[in-house]
Amino acid sequence: MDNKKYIESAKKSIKKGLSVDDLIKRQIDAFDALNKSENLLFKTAYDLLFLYFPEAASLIKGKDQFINMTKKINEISYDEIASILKIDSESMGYDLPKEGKDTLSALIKEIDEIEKTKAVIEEKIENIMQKEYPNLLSIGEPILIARLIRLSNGVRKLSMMPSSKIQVLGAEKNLFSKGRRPKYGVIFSHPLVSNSKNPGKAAKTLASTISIAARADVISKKDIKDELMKRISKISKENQNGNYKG
Amino acid sequence: MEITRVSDSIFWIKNKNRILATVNLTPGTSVYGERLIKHGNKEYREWNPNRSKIAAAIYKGYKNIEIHSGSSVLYLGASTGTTVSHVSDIIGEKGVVYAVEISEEVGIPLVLLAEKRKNIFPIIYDAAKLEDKKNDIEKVDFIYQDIAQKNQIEIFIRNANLFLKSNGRGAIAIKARSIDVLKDPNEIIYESRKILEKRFKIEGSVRLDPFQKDHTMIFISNQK
Repeated sequence: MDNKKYIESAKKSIKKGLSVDDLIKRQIDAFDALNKSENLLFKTAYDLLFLYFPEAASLIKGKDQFINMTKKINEISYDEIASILKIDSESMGYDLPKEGKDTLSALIKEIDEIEKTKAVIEEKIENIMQKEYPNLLSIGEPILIARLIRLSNGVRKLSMMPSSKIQVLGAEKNLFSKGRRPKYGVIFSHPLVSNSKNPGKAAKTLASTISIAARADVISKKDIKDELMKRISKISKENQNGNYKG
Repeated sequence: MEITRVSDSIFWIKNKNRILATVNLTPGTSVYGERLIKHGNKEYREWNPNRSKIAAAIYKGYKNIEIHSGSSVLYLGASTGTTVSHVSDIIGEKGVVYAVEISEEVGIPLVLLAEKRKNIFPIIYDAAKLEDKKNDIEKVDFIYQDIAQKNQIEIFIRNANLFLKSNGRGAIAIKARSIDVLKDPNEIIYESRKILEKRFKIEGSVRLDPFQKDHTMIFISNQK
């Protein structure tokens, strides 16, 4: 017996089964990997700056501010950093030789590069979704939608899911543990949910909207953006009024 | 180095620690990064119990794995082909292993493996709907299932009815967590065993921890 026939038909069904969702999954994985390495590099770069100019470094809060500040710097020196942060340029830090400063600026350049690559990937994901899943894209950030696709293993599966499951996608760990059940998973990153006074309620409505959008994209292939916008504006109205009936 | 035979092509190799290994069917190539051990004129591939449930069962002391040289095996839930490659080692060139996997993405390494090993017959299809592939799969000596589905027992029985020879053997890896997360795993295993007992003769069951968490493997034979 020969397995050639089986290999051939398996190859055919693989070719048929792979879809744009697999590409999106890979892209979001790449995005997450970049995110991780960026955080790692940021930490080392920050520590190096802390060695050089602790007074300035202690004033910087978070990655965004660090990148924004260091982007403006042409040459790393006490005066330049101090003038941006409006502090005294007198420092107790170790006066870095040229090699140290070069290391720091190389790290900062790399972080900036990663930031740019992330933006490119985000744009590419957005382009793909514009073509394939316009309704889903109208609801939220392309990264969030891609995360949902990653977790649900494809838009078709996402569309078949009950919206209560979409609501807690990404919170599987807490879902079955003892204690309180989670009210939201990755959709918490949506501003309508994270800025809401009642995120649980907002997450519920948003999840049902995502479910409807996924169904429209996969099954009917109709444009129902207006209807989706109505639902979303309902959430933002509720957020404003603080009226959570129903 | 001390080598003890477990069954066809399965050996314990004792150097410092005791490790399980199968004789490499394609000498010189490692499938998933496992260690290759040369001894005499044979090459052995390490069989890691943390990655393969059959290996875990052997580590836990179960000896009568009824897969022999020349056997035909139906393997449901083949994944990327880690365990399949060892089954392929055991059955040798005359054997056949039908490796069924549902996911296309995971199936790619499996198909690439099948190109190197002529006794692996990849089928990218849903294990619950194998009625459609009846013409492609002949009756087999051994049926092995490792799929994380809620109705895995039902799927196993259905496929055994379809494809297992009347004197065939089988094994099913039951993942309690995928049947019911909240119930006590022991209770689930007990209930599953009861359902299997109605249809098969139970040859033995092995709990696979600490190698595989919350897994139990139940060995069956077809005659009741």
